[in-house]
Amino acid sequence: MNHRDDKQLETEIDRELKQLPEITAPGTLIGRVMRRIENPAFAPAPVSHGMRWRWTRRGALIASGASAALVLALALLLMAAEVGAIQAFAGRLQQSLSLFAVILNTAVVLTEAMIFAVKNLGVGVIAGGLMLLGVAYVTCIGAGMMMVRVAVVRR
Amino acid sequence: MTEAQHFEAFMKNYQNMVYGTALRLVANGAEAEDISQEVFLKAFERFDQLRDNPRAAGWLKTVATNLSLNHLSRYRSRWSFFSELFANREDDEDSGPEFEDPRVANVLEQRERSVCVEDALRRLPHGQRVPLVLYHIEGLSYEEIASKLGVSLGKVKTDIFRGRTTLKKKLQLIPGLEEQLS
Repeated sequence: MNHRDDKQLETEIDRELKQLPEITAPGTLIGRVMRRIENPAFAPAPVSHGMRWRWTRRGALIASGASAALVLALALLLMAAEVGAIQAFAGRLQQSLSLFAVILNTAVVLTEAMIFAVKNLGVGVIAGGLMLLGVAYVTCIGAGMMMVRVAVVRR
Repeated sequence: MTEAQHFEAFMKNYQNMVYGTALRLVANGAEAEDISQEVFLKAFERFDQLRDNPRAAGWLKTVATNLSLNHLSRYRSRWSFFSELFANREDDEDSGPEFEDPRVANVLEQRERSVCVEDALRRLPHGQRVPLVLYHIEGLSYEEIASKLGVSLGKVKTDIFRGRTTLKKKLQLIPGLEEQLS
């Protein structure tokens, strides 16, 4: 199509579309908006003054807060050292680490079980299982999509 | 008059414009109404600035356009795979002549011309309808459309050309319109 035809097409379509009348909004629109506005639970999102601060001011606030927390933590640590609470803390830390060791051992056992399964079941079975999982996921998304479209149409 | 009554009067002035903008972009009445509601809720948050402001119409139109485009991009990015699987055949630009059925043609002869044009516009694929509406109805330039849609200038021109061609084909099939479109 040459340039003149393009121009003619543009002119024709422009004429058709510019002649379109204003579309009438549904009668339910105003009611919907007014119900939202007049609902006591509705409040226009308040703009927190803090959120308007520039990043420099926010950074300064965060830095000063972090510094104050660090100073407080050091002070508490010094106080704890004087009354011998560090020994008690070390005891609690040792207990936490032993719990961590249990968790680590459990993870090692599970990993060994997976390796055992892969070696004995074969890659084909594992791949088939993963494919089934993938199909199930896609089916769920598709079903969800259908439900949304049906709900929109019904509304 | 209370604030709510003022705002209701404000809405009555602009609801058709806002809804029409959204509908022509998203081509779905329910979604257009949702978008229009969001536009007016945002307008209510700024009603002090918009009330009696000559720029209110432009602001509303811009917000309606942006929310519609956001809706389209969200919809397409999440569901485009499945929506293409379940796509209505009428959205296909290459679908066969839709008005050859004489019963349909008889009904269409009685419909207003504008309704037919709106219907044909709505049946265009998203990728053609949106830039076409932004150019011819919203009056944006090619560059502005490219910026809003986040695509190249060349793509905008190509999509608009394809949209015009497809729309012309659809309109030529409508009795009474074919002689007006060469």
